[in-house]
Amino acid sequence: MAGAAELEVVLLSLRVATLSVAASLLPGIFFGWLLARWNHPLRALVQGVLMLPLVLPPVVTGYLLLWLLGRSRPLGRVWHDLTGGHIAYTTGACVIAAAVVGFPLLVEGVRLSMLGVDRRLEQVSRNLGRGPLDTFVRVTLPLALPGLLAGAVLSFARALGEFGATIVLAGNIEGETRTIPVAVYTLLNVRDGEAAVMRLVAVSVALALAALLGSFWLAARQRRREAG
Amino acid sequence: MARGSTAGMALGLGLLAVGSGSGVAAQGAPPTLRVFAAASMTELVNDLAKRFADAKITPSFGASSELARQIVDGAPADVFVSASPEWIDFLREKNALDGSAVVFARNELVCIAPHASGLAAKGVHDAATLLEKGLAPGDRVAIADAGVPAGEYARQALTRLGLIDAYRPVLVGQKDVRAVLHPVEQGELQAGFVYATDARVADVELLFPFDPKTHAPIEYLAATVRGSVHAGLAHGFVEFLGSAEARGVLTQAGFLLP
Repeated sequence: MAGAAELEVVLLSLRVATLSVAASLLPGIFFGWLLARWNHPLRALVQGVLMLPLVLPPVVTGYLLLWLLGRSRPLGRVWHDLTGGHIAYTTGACVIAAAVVGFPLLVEGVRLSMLGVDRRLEQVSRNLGRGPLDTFVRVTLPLALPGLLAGAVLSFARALGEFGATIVLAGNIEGETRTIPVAVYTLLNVRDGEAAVMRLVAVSVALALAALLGSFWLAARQRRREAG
Repeated sequence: MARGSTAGMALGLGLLAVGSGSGVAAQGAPPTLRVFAAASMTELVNDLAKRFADAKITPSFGASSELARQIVDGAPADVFVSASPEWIDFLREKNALDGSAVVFARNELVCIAPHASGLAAKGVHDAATLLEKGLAPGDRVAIADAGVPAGEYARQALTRLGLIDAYRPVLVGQKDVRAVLHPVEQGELQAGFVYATDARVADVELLFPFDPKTHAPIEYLAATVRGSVHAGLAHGFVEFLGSAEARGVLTQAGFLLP
């Protein structure tokens, strides 16, 4: 695999991870907020279901997704009837797999930072005549922002590393679904693939480390804010 | 604390019991041979394992490329069964094999489609017509990854036929030849390149065979792995693969003989 092919792989991975976080953001904020604020016996169940991709073997998650979205499956068929396209074995399938597997990390980041928000500030905003949505957007969300960003960065890093669910739902298509982990796995089968593997491994480690450091920095900022 | 140590003692006794149990078994029962075999040999090696009386066979199946790499990295294998000479040569270069490798079977490369695909009726009878008439937009073809023998043979054939560039955007790589079967069986992918013997064990339709002249001969080789603790038995199993009994089983399963 020449340099151009590796670059294509890295760019595809970044694109997939970015799209997966972008797609998860609104639902992630909603569920993070719900789990932080909703006191109902069903909350544990919702939380359990949302956290499932974190503990399920990714291959199992991928299989369940394929079972839902494959072209011979109900949802896959509905999608085909609506759009004429298919979900499985496309870049979109990579994004879905990465989003599902990274989602718990985003929700958890949002949930924890929402728990740290001083609710008296929200009350003040309401007393001053702001509506609930307005208060959420102008008060709650900015206060929870570092935790939200830390969660987003972690789920971005998780998305970059997604392999198990991706290989089942999206396969290994050059230029479309061959992300960094899939490319590394593919190159391990090739006799002279070692050099390319090492380069992709280096990129992988660098990206993951940068994302982790970023999330630590954001989390520390959140703690400072809470302490101050 | 007291409960913890009781549990620990029970566990210790349990382990002792298990340990002595296997010790007894090792004296009476035959030793275990670890056979690392190409995925396309799954049923065959399982069948032959039952017929090989001298040792209990513990098989491990995967792409020959993957298994060869595992062996180089120290995986405990006694026998390596490869679907191509390439990975035997690779291990020989790394000094990981003992004795010579024996060619004991051959195979053919074919294209499969989901059961009752109707592709033949559309006039699909080779790789060119599959691309031309068989694939709707969004339809894709499963192929074993590069380096995996089945993937290499298929890529050689497509290259030889001048179709590789046209095929590249529709090819979905799979980790080994058996991983090609599942998505085609499920109808998620519209065709796949496998060995003739793989097509027989899956609920798929055989679309067309590739001309053997378009790819390197598909040969299965077996060799003893250097450092095997049962080297004699391992050699015995390699020889057994070429025996009249094994040849019968191979033919039955649709393999060709060398």
